[in-house]
Amino acid sequence: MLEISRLDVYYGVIRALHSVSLHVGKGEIVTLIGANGAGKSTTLRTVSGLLRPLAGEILFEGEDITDMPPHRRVALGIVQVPEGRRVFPQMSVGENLDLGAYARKDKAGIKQDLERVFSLFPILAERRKQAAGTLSGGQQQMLAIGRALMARPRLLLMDEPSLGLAPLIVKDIFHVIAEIRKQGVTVLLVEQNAHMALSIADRGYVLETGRVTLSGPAKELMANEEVKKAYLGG
Amino acid sequence: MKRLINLILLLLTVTALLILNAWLPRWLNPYINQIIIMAGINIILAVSLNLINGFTGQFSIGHAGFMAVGGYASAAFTYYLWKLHFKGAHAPGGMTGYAIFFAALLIAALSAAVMGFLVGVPSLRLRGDYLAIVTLGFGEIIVALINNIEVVGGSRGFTDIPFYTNFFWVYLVVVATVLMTRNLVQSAHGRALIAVREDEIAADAMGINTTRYKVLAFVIGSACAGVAGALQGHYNLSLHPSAFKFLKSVEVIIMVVLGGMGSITGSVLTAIFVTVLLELLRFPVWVACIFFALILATAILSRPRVPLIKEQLVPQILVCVGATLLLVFALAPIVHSALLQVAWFKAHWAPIGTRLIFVGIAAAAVLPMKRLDVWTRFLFKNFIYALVLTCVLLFARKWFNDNAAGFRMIIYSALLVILMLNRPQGLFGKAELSAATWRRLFKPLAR
Ligand SMILES: Nc1ncnc2c1ncn2[C@@H]1O[C@H](COP(=O)(O)OP(=O)(O)OP(=O)(O)O)[C@@H](O)[C@H]1O
Ligand SMILES: [Mg+2]
Repeated sequence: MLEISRLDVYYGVIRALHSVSLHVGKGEIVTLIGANGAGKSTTLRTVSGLLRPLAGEILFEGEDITDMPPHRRVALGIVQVPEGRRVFPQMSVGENLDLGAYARKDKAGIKQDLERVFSLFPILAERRKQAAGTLSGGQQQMLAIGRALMARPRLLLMDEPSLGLAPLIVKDIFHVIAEIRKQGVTVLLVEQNAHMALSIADRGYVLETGRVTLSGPAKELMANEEVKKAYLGG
Repeated sequence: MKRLINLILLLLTVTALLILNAWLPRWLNPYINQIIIMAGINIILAVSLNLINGFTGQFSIGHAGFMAVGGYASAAFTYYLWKLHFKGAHAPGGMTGYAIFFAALLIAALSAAVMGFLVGVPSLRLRGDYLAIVTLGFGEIIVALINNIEVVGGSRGFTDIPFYTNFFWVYLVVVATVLMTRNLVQSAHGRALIAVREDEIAADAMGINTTRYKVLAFVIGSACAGVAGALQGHYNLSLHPSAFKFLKSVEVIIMVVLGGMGSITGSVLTAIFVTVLLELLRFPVWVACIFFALILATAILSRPRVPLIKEQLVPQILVCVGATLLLVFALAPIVHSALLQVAWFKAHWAPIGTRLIFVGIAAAAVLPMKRLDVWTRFLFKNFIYALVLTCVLLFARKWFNDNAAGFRMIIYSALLVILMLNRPQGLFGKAELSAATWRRLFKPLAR
C-alpha cells in the first residue's frame, strides 16, 4: 500500500533521515520505534506531505505522491493524527469532527462515520458541545483520532498516541487502534512506548538517528536482545 | 424562494440607503455627516482586516498600502475619464456619475486584490511572521512609489478628484463587506479559515489547503481595503501618499484588536466608537464623561470572577447605587449633546428630552444592576483609578493648551491602555452580538 524508498529529509542543514526505506501492506499495523530525535515524526510528516524530501520517493498504491501537497494526500486517504494531538481548541468537539470530514462530500457516509466514531469513543458523543481545548489529555487524543477517522482514511498515520497519558487510557487507545484496523484501516504507528506498539503491530521498524537499523515481524523484534535492551527496558 | 427573499432584502436595503442618503444632510449638520462617512470607511477597513488578522490568524500590517492602491487606481480612473473624455468644468454627475463611480470602485477592488495576491502568495506559503514583515515592507514601498508617480500628483498629492462618495455608496459597501465576511465565516470555508487560525498544522493534516485559504482571506480583505481607499479619495477630493503610511495601518489594527479578533460585531462597533471618540476628544468637557462611560462599559462587559460576599451586601449596594448615579450623570450630557445635533430634536424635544434622557439612562443602568458583582468589581478596580486619571488629564490639559491635537492623542492612548487592560481579548472577544449575548449580559447573578 505504502512504499517509501531511500528517503532523505533535511531541516535546513540538519539531516534528519538517511535513506530511509520501508513499506506498509494493506490491512497491516506497522510501527516505527526509536529514541527521541530518531526521526520518527519526520518520517510521518514526510508521508503526510507536511515535509518534502530532498531525495527518495513515496509510492501510495503504486502512485508517486512524493510531490503531492498534503490536502491532496488526504483526499487519497492518507490521514495523519499529528503529534501532540493538536485539536482546534476553541471549536467544539462536534466542529472538530466536522472538520475531519472537510475534504469529503458524501453526507450519508459522513453521518455513518460520525456514528462509528461515537461508538468507538462514547465520551465524545457526551461532550459534543464542549470546547475541545477544555477536554482532558486522553479525551483530546480520542478526539484527534476520531477527527482523523472522519476523513475516512485508508492509511492512518499516528504519531505517539500514548504521549503523556495514564497507562489505563493508553490501553484503551491501543485497543481502539486494533479495532480500527479490524474495520479495514491500515495503520502506520509511531511510538516511544515500544512494548505497547509491538504488541499490537504486525511488523516494526527500528529507527536510530535517521536510519533504519532493524526491521521485521513484531514478535521477532520483541524477542530481539538489542531491542529488549534499548527499548523494552531490559 | 430564498433567492427572492434575498432580492427583496437587497432592494429594501438599497432603498433605505438612498432615502437616508437624501435626508441625512438635511437632518444633521455637515460635521456629523462627515463623521458618519468616516465611521463607515473605518468599518470597511476594520471588518476586512479582521478577516485576515482575526479570523484567519495571519498578521497583516499593510492594510493602508492596499487602501492606497485602490484609492489611487480608482481616482486616476475617474479623474482622467473626466479630464480626457468628458472634459467639462465639473465631473459628470447624475446616473453617469453613479455608473462611473461603480466602475471606479470595482477597479479599486480589483487592483488591490491583484496586489494582495502578488504580496500574499509568496509570503503566505510560509508560516509565521513573514506576512507581517512583507506587508510592512509593501506598505512603505507603495508610499515611496506613489511619491514618484507624477500622473497622480507624486509627493504633492493627487488633488481635484471628482466628488462621488456619499452616504449611499459608503454604507452600501459597509453592508456588502459585513455580509460577505459573515457569510464567508459561517460557511464551510469559514470553518477552514478558523481552523487555520486555531492550528495550521492540524488544518493541513485535515486536508485543508491552508495556503489557498490564507490567500483567499488576504485577497478579499485587501480588495475591501482598496474600496475603502476609493471611497476616501472621492470624499476628501484628494489623496496624499503620507496618509497611507504605517500609522494608518496601525489605526485599523487598533480597531480590530479593540473590538476582538474574530468578531465582526466588535470590529463594526469599535470602528464607529474610535471614529466618534477621536472627534469627541476635541472637546475637553467631554473627556471626563467619556472616561466614565467607557470604563463602565468595559466593566459591564467583563465576566465576573469574584462572587458577591453576603456579609458585605449593604456597602456593595450603596456602591452600586453610587456607580449608577455617576453613570447617569456621565452619559446623559453625551447623549444629549449628540441628540442636539439633530435639528428636529432640537426644535421639538430639547427641554423635555433632556429629562427623558436622564430617566432613560437611569433605567438602562438599573437593568444590569442584577449583576451586582460586576458593578462592585468595576468600582474597586476602576473607579478611583479613572477619577484620578481624569483629574490629572484635565489639569494637564491646561498646560498643554496650545498643543491640543497632541493632547488628544495622549488621552486616546490612555483610553486604549485602560480598555486593553480590562479586556485583553477585545471588547467582544470572538463573540457576535446575538440574542444570546444580550441574555447573558442581563442574566441575573447565578449561584
Ligand atoms: N523543525 C525542525 N527544525 C530543525 N530540526 C528538527 C525539526 N524537527 C525535528 N528536527 C530534528 O530532526 C531530528 C528528528 O526529529 P523527529 O521529530 O523526527 O524525532 P522523533 O523520532 O519524532 O522524536 P520524538 O520521539 O522525540 O518525537 C531531530 O534531531 C530533531 O532535532
Ligand atoms: Mg516525534
